[in-house]
Amino acid sequence: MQLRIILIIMLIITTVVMIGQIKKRNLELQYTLSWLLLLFIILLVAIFPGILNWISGLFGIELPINMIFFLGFVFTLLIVYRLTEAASKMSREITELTQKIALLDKKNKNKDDGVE
Amino acid sequence: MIDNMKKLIIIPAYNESANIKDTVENIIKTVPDFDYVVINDQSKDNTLEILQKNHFNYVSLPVNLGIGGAVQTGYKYALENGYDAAVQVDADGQHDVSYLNDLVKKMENEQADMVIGSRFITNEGFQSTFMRRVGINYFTRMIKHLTGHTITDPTSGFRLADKKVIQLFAKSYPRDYPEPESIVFLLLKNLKVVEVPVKMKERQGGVSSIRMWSSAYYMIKVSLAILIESIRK
Repeated sequence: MQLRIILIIMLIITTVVMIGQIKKRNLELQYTLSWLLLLFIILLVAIFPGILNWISGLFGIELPINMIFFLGFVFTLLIVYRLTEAASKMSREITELTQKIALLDKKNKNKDDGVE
Repeated sequence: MIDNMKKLIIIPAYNESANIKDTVENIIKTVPDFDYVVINDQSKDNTLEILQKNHFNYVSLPVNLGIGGAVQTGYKYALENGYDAAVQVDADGQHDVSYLNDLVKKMENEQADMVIGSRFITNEGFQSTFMRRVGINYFTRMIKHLTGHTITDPTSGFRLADKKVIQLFAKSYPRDYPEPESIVFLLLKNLKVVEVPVKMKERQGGVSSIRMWSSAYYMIKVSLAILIESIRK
């Protein structure tokens, strides 16, 4: 019971901090949604531990603790995948922008030098 | 026809202070009918200073993009400035620009979209190391298998692109080790890729972009890239 209370408090603190970071625009909601979802699910499980037994039974997993590891692993992979996707997109966009800036810079210099 | 073609030499440069001056001066002297542009890829040495001091024509990237991104900048420059053909010449002096007219003539005569300067038709000049030749041969076989075309020197950066290819490359070009992958891309678009024999020199100074420790990464990455390219369509 004590552990559950500590867990619930920690989860609430983490959620509040995370939302604060989104408010300050340090975190982008788009990429933080999966974290919030994860926090919410852990919170549900902490409040109603019965859910865990029920899901474990559904998956045919005997020990509920293994279910936690399994779910944690799946969620972490999902979040990492989202990040890889975001990094790929950004690197493509940065390349695009870098090239555009360099070419514009060149055009401006040509104008300054009177070359067209 | 050859004479009124607007032709550009793209010179990607990353930390090339040892070679860039000689390379550019040699280009201006040897092939005056070509324009050139140096793409300075955020060199950490004084490459940029040398470009400014000598009033060379250059574009300077504000962020290091790697060889693919740098060369693509050159293709974008070529597209914006209405060039009919663009050729990549490495800053380290290993590509001999006196062959450029051979490349252009070949493009004219065969109506080719891309002409690659190949070390392995006459097997003259610097032939690279044994291990690299094994790697190159493997890519030749792989491309032959996937496209039915024989490209003897798929890793050669010394290649002339026509307007169509400039447009395609300006739109999309691989980020690192772009050569073999982009050949497959063109061949599967049914563009004509041909080769002419050239002699290459050993690098005049600086370090090659492909070092020993990264060769395993190189082989795996390029193989995968070619395979993915071949199913992309």
